[in-house]
Amino acid sequence: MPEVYGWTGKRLRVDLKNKKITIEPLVTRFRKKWLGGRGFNMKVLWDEIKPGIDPLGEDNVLCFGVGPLAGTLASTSGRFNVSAKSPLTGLIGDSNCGGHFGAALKGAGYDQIIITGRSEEPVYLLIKNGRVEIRDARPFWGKNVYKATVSLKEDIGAQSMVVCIGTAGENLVRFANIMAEGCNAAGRTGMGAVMGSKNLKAIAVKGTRGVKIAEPEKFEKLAKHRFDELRSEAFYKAFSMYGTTVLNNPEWSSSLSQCKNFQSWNLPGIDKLSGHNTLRYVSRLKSCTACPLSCHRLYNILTGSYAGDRAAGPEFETVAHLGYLTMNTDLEVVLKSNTLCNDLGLDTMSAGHVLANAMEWYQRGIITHKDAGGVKLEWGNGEAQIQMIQKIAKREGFGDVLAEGAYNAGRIIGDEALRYVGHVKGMCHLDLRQGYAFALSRMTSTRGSDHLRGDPSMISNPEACKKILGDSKIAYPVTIYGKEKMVVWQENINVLADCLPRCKNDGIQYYFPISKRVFKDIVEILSAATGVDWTTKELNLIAERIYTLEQAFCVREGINREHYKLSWRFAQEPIPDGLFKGSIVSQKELDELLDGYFNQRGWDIKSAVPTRGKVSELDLIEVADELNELLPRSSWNGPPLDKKFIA
Amino acid sequence: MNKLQDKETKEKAKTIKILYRVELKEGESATEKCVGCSLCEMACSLYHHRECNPSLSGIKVIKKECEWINGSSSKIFQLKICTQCGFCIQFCPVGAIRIAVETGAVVIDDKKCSGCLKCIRACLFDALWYNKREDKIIMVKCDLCDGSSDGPKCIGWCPKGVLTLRKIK
Repeated sequence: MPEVYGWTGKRLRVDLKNKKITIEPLVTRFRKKWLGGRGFNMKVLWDEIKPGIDPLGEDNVLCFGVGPLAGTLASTSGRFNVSAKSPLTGLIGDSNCGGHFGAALKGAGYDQIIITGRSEEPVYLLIKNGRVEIRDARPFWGKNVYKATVSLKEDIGAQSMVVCIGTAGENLVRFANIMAEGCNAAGRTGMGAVMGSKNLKAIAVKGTRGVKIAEPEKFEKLAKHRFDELRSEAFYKAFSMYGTTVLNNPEWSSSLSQCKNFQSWNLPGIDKLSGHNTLRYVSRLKSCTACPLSCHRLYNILTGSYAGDRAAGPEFETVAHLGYLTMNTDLEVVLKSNTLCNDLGLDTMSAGHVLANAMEWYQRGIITHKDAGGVKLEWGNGEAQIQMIQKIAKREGFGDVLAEGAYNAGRIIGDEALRYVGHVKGMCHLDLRQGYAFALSRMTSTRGSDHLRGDPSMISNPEACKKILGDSKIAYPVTIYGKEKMVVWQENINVLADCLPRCKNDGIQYYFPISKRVFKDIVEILSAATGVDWTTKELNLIAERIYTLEQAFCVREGINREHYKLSWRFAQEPIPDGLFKGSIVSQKELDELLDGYFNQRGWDIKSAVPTRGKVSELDLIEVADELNELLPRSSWNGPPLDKKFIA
Repeated sequence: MNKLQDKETKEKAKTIKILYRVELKEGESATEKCVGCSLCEMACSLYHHRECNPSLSGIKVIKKECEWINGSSSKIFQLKICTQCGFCIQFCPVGAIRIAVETGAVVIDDKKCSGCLKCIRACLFDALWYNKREDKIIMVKCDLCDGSSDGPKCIGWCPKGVLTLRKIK
């Protein structure tokens, strides 16, 4: 086999049922077609997951993937993707995570791990270069993330990198996350529950093989250029100190965030949750592998009722979900909630959502004090919040219902509860009512409402719109004009970021004027690393191919045009307070915009199915054949729920 | 022949007036600034071995974030790099370790090295490592990047300016 540069050219297949481990080659054609990380994973999900399977059953396939730049000098490249069918939504499950695990996996000599089947006993996977073992994890089962990670590292050796689940993942909480090194989380879409369902506690990697570079001198020069550029960016200084909490104040004051489960924009004491205030608790800045940004922080609460509490964070989204949405303005409670979520292995965003919804149901009398198991789920009740998080992870009392996630809990409790859940395809994120570009990007995101799939960051930036989309008018936030073009561009660049990998916080999607240079940078550095000549056109095609395949996966699971409807709150209730007071996104105009989007993507307007023409243009003809056979499909309604909830 | 060369080297070594080493800029407190990004490790291995591989790097970042969170370690990141003290030279049975005339760095001659790892056991600072490649032992240590014009790579690549090159004699 000729020398492979950039990638490692190998992937690991682990069958937990038969305890069988195989190493498969990844041929050049495959690598060039799917690029890496998210692309590799999506191809596997499409090929190996049969439609309609239970995401928590043994037929689900869990993939960890890294791209050609992971584990190299290229700035912000230390990331990996975890994908499977999501137990939270029953659709695409995919989460991108930072930390050191991605680079370590690459260093051990693998581009991807595919985990199939289900083990009878708790196990963990040990990867030491060519030596791969499925080991007994009974001593670690039942331990939470920090303890499990540390004791695993003690067993294997200090320089190994560990991803593991906490008790939430073990108890199949549908929004359980996978924690890398106890600091970084593959949070969204409940990948931790998939790992738990397979009885896989952790994966530990220790690698000394490294990543070979085709043109080391040129690569170093390009990487250094990017490194220097990044450090001279205007946002660098603030960002490497405050992390994403740099957004707390601007997001709130421009009323892009709401509180009280989107019922209000009036939160007394909001200043206490500012990014600046988090600094009081931060004891150390930290980076993911190969990142000069250090946006991640380690905090330590020194005094008060939560003294001695240590963890990584908090991120803006954590503050927004466990602070704003539940009306909790005590930063220490937010930090404690964050610590608990990380230790138990829960997604802080979904946890915040489910708590905020529970509080609203409590407020409206949909659930009673008795239903909630005696927990006073009042707005801003920090103690109740912390208590409930623990109950969710243990699936104890009412926590058992909430552990199904906001949308599924709504399904269980009834339509009256479900109407207040602001979700898209079963997943929740912040408000959709700020404008059409926002709403569109959340609607069309393949993994459900989320900010990391296609955030329209070019909005209100005529210069960027002119440069990239050729029309500065698109930047105007109120109209629907041209927003589909913006969202498609953003979605594509995010696919590439997940494939390379590259962090979305390094300016690829936010904070500084995006220019065509983004693509040029990627093309140059990718060519120098892999020794393959890339073009912008090819990369665009790859991004489109992956996004279309994701859509095909969702369609196969029953998504159709009907699911592109706003949930009740966002469709019926105008924003109550703030700068956007009274504004609302009308479904009629959104439908018009969606038509434009589907046309732009080459998907059928009526059914949301990728058209045969488009699919063959993207070299995915087998997908079209399979989609044809499937028709007519049963409509998606969320993942199958446990029998005990279907009364 | 070897003896003659050794003698020559020793004499030349006497003529070296200035020795350098890569060290922490403000002493131990500078580790507080390290963010554990591993860029130094990868830049080092890319320069010396044409690949990005922290286990082939002459500088090591020991990461203990989770241990710190768990309360089982007081340190979060530790940096390890050779101080060029030359203590290991006397332990080498084959005379593979010498002081490079050009830079004053303590370097290991791959061709002579027998892979006995005595130097690793002798090192006072735990700043010397090895990596196994197809049954061949590769010694890994800081050689100040052969005195390359833009200085040791790790210094230029540190985003927080933790490292510096210091005169020691």
